[in-house]
Amino acid sequence: MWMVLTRDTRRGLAVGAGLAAAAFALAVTFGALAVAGGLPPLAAVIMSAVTFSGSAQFAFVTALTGSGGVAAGLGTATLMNLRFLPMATACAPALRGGRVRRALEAQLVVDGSWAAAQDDQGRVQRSVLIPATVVQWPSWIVGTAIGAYAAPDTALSSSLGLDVVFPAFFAVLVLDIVRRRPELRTVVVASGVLTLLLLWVVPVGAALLAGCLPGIRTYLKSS
Amino acid sequence: MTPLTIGIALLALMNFTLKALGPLLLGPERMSERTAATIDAMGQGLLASLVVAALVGAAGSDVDAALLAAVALAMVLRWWGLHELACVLIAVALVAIIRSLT
Repeated sequence: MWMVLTRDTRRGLAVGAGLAAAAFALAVTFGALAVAGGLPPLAAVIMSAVTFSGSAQFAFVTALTGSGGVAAGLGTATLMNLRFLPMATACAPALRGGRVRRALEAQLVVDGSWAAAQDDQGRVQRSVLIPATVVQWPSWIVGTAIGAYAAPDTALSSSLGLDVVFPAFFAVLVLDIVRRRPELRTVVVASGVLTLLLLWVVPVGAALLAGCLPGIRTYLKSS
Repeated sequence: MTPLTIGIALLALMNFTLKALGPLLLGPERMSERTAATIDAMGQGLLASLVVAALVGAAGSDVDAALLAAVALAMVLRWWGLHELACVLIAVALVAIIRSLT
């Protein structure tokens, strides 16, 4: 079975499995925190199944339980997830079918899979993106259920060092990009510095989104 | 329908819309070279931003030295040619060791 799969699909599954382990630990933490904050366990599990976005879910629950209410939770989560607009748009040419099918396939865009699916030219490889997400999604739901119903120590993933998986993985990919595509070095450095500065004055979601702005320089330069 | 149920439904809808909008508007049509290059550059910038945000976090939060050290080690190992997953696993081990000692 493994040999029948394409090289890209095998890579997607392998990367997805690594990310799924970290996602699982994060989901256990999310489930435990959500229930501790007053959410019914089933609500936490359903949220993970239909949203599948760690940053937005943590933001939603934090705002909700911090007496901000549902509206504040939604606002914070939306800000966190605005990055999916450019990420999914960048994937659009790689997806298949008409507009509706592409919109449905774009639901598989999550940070780790999207980052792993970039090829040397910055194009998204659908054959990596889809398997990488398909592996992570069940682990996110199961992890949330375990966290919500069993409520283990939320410091578990931190003590095991699993919270470094995503930043380390993203950093390795950034390094690959700046080595293989020197024309993007300025954009990458400018985005990192801009985000670093903005993190002091604006919410994380807004700082992340601002990281896209140096890329517009590419458009202006080619005019 | 409780406010929480509505909130969860709206959260899912918002997430769906943000991901669907670009592909829905573009469809199978090809972007111009210039637009594609811009979106590509914006995406790579976003990736760098994700690293910074994951390491630094929101204003007022403490920067975790163990995370910084482990990410730096992962990048050095990658520079030396180690497989990306091996780099990440070694970073995880380093963070676990540092935290067990401190």
